Amino acid sequence: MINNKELFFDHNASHPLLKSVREGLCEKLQGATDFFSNPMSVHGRGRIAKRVLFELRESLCQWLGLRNDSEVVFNSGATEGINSVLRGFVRNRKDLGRKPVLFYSAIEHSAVHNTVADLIDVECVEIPVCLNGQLDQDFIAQQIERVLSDDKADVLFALQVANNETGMCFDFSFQSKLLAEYGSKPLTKLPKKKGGKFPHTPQRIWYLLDAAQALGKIDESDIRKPLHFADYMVLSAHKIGGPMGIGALWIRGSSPYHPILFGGSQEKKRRAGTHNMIGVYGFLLAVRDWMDNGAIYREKMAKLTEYLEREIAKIPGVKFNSTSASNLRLCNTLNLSAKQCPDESLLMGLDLRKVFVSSGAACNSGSVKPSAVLSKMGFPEDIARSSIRISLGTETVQEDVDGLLKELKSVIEQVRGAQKMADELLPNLGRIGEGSPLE
Amino acid sequence: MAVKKTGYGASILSRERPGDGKSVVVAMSGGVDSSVAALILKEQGYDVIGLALQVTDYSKYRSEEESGTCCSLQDMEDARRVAESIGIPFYVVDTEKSFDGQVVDYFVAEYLQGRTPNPCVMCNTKVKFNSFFRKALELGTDYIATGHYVRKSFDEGLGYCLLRGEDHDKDQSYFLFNLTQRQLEKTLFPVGGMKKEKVRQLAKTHKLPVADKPDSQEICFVPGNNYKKFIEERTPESQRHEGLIVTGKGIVLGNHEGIHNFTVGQRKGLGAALDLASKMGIANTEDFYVTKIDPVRRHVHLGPSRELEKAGLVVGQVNWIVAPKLEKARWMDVKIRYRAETARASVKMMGDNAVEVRFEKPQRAITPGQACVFYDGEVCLGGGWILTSLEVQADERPSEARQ
Repeated sequence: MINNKELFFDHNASHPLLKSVREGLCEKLQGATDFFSNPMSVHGRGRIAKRVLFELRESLCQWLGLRNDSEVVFNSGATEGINSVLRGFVRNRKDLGRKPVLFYSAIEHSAVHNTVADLIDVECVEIPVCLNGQLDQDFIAQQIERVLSDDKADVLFALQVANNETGMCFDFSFQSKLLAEYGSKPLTKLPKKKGGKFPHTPQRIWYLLDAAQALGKIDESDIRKPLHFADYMVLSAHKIGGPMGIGALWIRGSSPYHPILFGGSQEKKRRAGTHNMIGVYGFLLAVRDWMDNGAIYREKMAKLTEYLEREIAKIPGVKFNSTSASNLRLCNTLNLSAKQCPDESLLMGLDLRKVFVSSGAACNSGSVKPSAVLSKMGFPEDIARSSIRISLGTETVQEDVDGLLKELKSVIEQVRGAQKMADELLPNLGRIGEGSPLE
Repeated sequence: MAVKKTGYGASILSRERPGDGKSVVVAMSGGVDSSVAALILKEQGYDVIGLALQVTDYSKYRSEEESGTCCSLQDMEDARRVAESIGIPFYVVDTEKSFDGQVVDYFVAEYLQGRTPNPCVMCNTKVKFNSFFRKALELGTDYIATGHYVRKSFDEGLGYCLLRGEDHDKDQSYFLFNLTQRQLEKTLFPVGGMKKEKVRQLAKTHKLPVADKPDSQEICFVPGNNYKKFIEERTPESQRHEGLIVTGKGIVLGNHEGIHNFTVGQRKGLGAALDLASKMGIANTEDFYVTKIDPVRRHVHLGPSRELEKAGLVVGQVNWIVAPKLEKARWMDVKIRYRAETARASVKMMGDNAVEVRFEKPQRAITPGQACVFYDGEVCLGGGWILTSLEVQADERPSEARQ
């Protein structure tokens, strides 16, 4: 009953190091001692390290179509990036006597929710998300009108390109409407300059894109589109098979910013602290690999994911929680609920069979809580308590997928059988909230 | 009652491997007992899966004192480390919702009714055993196991029997009177045949990270053991049942803020009422206790300690693990508090699941709401919840008759 091979289907949590990254890092780690030096050093070894840093900056820009590589700041990953931007934006606007207002979707990563919760004296607007995984655009329109009617208000949107649990991508078309509405004209009439032209209109709305989960798994052109209007973007290397603890923050031009870490003058003082050069090099190798092979990887993952989706759909009582429209979903992610199967039971059953998937959100004790993402999207509690996420990677093969299917079917059968038995075997629990046994 | 002992976990040193080819889910709390239980089963050849319940969200109480409780975040971490060192898979199961419903709501409701609940019994049977059974069925394991100090045996005529722990000081059968035959059949108690010192010693020799961890004491979900605050936070003022403090003869000694603040046998917090009593010339107030709580009139009765002595009690919601023949009254050993010695009593049926218990000698501080558990020697026959106590008749009270 037990596989010998571990079947890893939790790539959205962290993608194992790509082969090219493993091999490239090993080579350098075992090789000369001059490679991983401090790039801030003036000497020759420092210059070698600095070149690696430049190469990563350039490669990232080339891959994602960013024009100015000095706008890329290396940090520890997307969580730090989100913290920097949210806190930096708020600090910067307040320093200028403006009123920062943060807009973010209800299904953002906890890095957004918990940073926002920690910020004091800042207006925050949580945008509801519909069952189809899309933003409530009417809500945005209403709230923006309300917020921007205050001349002092400046808005930052923090939105993910794709959701980590469902793999679904937001439709950003509302942005062009907002641009048409507020982007080019001031809300209050300013005195016209000579010649009848409006004076320069200050920007009122900024966008932070969380592309951590989307990177690599959607076509570059699909990331470039929102990047046209975005002002910030955060990335994590380990989601694309690079090392953990390294990521990038892109800040367009002179967008509002204020660092959260102070110290040395690394990254033009936007992020102090000695560079994680092993991470930087691994990130560089991963980016190069995706630039060369991304299209092949995506095609392969998409094919296997679609096959898996078709086969899982044949299991009775299984429902997908994300759209099957491939243009609105990451090519590697499926989110599903099996009737009568609590997610933690599926997770444990699969784990004991060496099949690794994930579910909902892990609480700090390690227990499984109902998925906040699905709850916020409006799914009923039984769905939010029984959802599992299957996410494929570049090295997933047909055999793995078949193995997963076999074990998933058997675990679902086992759990359902057990539920029936439990209802017969266990004494009546009574209604929850029944209170005293003596009444 | 003759019982053939075939208990598991007899000796870890015997190198018996009764578990070969069988699987078991061990309920791990992060304490030394359940950790050693897991260790023993692993040594006996079982496929062991460690499971811990997270019964409440401890981050809610982050600022409060956390030590000495069970199932806290630190305990989850301890259990995880033990599982890691034994080499077994380990999971935490969220049972917050059923714990809130089955244990916390019950706990509050009982106090508001003037009774003294026993949430540990409730938690053990309604939350722990049910959750572990469900998980064991889902994972397809053969058994569940716990670190309780109890033993089990099988008797052709009686079925599965729950026996008191070898270590009578640690015996926990009192908490498990609600188990059923089906549950007992599938449950292993690996440390039930050991003394606590032996368990600690095993933990030490196997270098388990919890070898020196102190036993848990308090009610785990009440921060700082402050019952009053805990109950009042969960109860609208209109339901707090304020009323009078009175003597047995009905003399009013003051007001109280709710019967939930009192337990039969209590002495603490009676200061003002007792001062008034002595000023009124009532004798021996230094020997006064809460003798009765009247939830209907919301009266708290104070009286001398002899009034705490009762002839018997009525037990409801009785569960028999081993059904005794009770056509007529039968003598049993009866335990009315976890920490009480058993007392001889005659037990007779009063209906479908209620019994009347009359003690050989009057017993002190019988507390409605606590569990009453029946034994025949080592065998735990079953138990139920104390509904009310029975007064000592004048002719039954020899000490008073002499006065």
